[in-house]
Order: sequence, then structure tokens, then C-alpha cells
Amino acid sequence: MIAIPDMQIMILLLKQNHLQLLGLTYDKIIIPTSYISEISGAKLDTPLSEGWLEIFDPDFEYLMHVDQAESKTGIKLSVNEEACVALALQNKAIVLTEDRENHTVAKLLNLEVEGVSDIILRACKSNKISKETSIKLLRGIHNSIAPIITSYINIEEQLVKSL
Amino acid sequence: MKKKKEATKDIYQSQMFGNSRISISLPNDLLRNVTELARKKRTSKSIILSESALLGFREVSIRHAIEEYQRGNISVGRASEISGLGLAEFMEEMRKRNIIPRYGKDLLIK
Repeated sequence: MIAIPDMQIMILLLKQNHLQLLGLTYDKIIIPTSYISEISGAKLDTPLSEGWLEIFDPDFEYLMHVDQAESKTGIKLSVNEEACVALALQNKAIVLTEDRENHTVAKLLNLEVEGVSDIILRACKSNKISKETSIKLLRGIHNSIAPIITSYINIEEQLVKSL
Repeated sequence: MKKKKEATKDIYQSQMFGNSRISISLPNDLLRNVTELARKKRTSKSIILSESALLGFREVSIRHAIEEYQRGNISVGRASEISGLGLAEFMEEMRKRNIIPRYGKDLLIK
């Protein structure tokens, strides 16, 4: 199972020092080269050497499909998000995003979409991380997005505990 | 004569640092404060105003990008492009201002 995280997911996991969660949860992770301008290359050295992360750019024709989907919905994504969705199309992969607009464009292109909680739950269900770590991660990530979204955290915490 | 000399120095500095000269209107109070600060720091009003504009422009760009994001139809990544900041920095600015990002509808729990 290949997954393409958007930049936001990468930043959120890097902030929690849990980028390796992607490697534990999916067979392969692909990101476009444009992410390197924001994420220091050194942070990607380990995943690259472990072999679960690959970096390459989508073909032009897939970028055109994303552009058409944006025109249909009236949504405008960033260059990085467009590359993320195009890579998912090209590799028949899952899009990892928390962003509603990115989610809408990906869904229009019939792509499977998962969020940060799905990643954590997958890892927890397959015993790659403990329930305690899952809850700590959920709290940390939501707190780094917007500390006031407490209802989301409560629902997700209950779900992790019930696993 | 002294003023003319200062103006020539300003033009020289502008050309040196790739700046352009424009004429703007400022509130009298602000101009008074700028003049006072320039005198205390023994520099020109032009330098004080350039620094102020650079610092202020960052804030103006962020506010504009957040307004565009709240209007809808652009992603948080696109908003960060509009602001001129990196995504991580822009997300931090949104967090500080208690702006809740729009989540994908069925992202929470399936």
C-alpha cells in the first residue's frame, strides 16, 4: 500500500518526531521534490536509507488531471498539494491529508484519502505503537494545529482506548 | 544645503541596495515619531520607514492570506503561498490567532 502525504501531514509528524510512523503503517511513501525546500533534507536521510521513502515528481499528464479537478470545484491548491494528489493518481496511492480542499480534489479524482488520526489508528491496531503513544500523539498533533479543537481529541481518544 | 546632502546620500543608498523611491502620505503623529526615532538613532527617516514597512508587510501579508483562506476555496497550503511564508510558519501563525483549519469531512473516524 503506497501513500502520498501532503506537506501538512509531514510537518505535523516531524514536529512530534514521529515521521517513522508513515514507514510503519504503509509499504511505501512517496513525496515530490518540492517538499525539500520546506523540509530539511537531513530529516529525510533515515527514511531514505531505510528504503520506505522515495522522492520523485509526478508526470505532467497527472498534474493536468489535478488542474482540471481544481477548475471543476473552484478550489485552488498549493504547488505541493497539486504534486501530492498527482503522485497519488500516478501510483494509485492513498492521499494523506487533513486539509478539506485537498480532500475534496482527491475525492473527485476517486482517490482514497486518510488523515492523521487514520495513520495513528492503523499503527495502533497493528501494534506498531501503544495506545498510550497513540493518545499522546493525537493530543500533540491537535495541539499543534489548534489547541481549541478538544472535541476531536476526545472522540479519537475514546476510539483508541476501545481498540 | 545639509538637507540636499542628506537627500543625495539617500538616493545613493537606495541605488546601492536595489531600493526604489516613492512618495507616500503619512499621519503627522507617525511622521513625528519616525523623525524622533531617526534623530535618536542617528539615522535617516528613510531607513526607519523601510524597516517599519518590511516588518509591517509580513503582518499585512499574513492577514490577507488568512482572509482568503477563511473566504474558502483555497487550501491551507495555497494560503501559505499567498502569505509568502513556509507552510510550517504559516500554520503556526494560524494557531497563534486561533484560526481553526478546515478538516476533510470524513477524516476523523471511519
